[in-house]
Amino acid sequence: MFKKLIKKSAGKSPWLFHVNAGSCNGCDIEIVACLTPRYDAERFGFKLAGTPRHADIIVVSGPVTSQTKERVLRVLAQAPEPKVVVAVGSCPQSCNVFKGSYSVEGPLKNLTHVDVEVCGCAPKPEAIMAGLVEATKILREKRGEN
Amino acid sequence: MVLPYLEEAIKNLFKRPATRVSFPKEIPPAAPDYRGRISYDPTLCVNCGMCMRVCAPAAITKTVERNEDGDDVITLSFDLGSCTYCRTCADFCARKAIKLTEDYVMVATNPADLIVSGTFVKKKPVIPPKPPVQPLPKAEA
Repeated sequence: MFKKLIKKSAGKSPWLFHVNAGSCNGCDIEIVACLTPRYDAERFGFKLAGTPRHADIIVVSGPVTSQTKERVLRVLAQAPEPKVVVAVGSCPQSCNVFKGSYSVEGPLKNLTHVDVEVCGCAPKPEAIMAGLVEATKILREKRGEN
Repeated sequence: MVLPYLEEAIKNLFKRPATRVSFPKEIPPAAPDYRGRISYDPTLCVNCGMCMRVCAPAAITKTVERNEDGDDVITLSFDLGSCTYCRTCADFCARKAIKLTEDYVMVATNPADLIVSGTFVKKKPVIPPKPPVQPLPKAEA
């Protein structure tokens, strides 16, 4: 019963971990704005975690550069299953204007499965919030809840 | 003063909440001239290819197929997951076929949902039959 309670409450408060994979800082600012009182994503129970080991949702921004590729892989490996990967902005989805650059290691989908994609350059905080709500639904499905 | 923040605390009790966006209930309108989701009207397009030429992230792709009548079926696809939303394509569009709308909630779990495309048919030009070649009159010496 105790486990059931934990499972139920964990579904209501997914923790985020934000990885900057060589982003221009535009999307990062929007993600931070999303968590501030004005937009207040914490209404939905989101909380920025300090370590990927506590996280349920991994938010990635930026095209994955050669320098960050190993770090992104490490973060993704450290996050416990089930996890949901959210790509924020055009960069992790397709590398945007950095396509074909010698220092960019392809879009994020080359490294891992991307569950939710939020478009925009940079997306508005409302759009990011919509993406996170979508990610919560996927997280519940992955956990076997409904 | 004993409680330095008491005044502020009492004020905050009567202030309206700082959260201005009740997001799931209503989607607040974007700023005027916001560059959001691309809308493409294939009936206006003249297939000049200017949008593809100016697109920095190469988000626009064109496919040409020949149908059984010999007409070209041209499809332009705009990948929203690749777009920078700079509106250069819309600015360069001579026929105003491309527009960036104010819809900004572009969330998808399937990348195929993020492709805006339009198809139009370019008719094969009707070539009039060539007149028979008249023999040249012989030049008189």
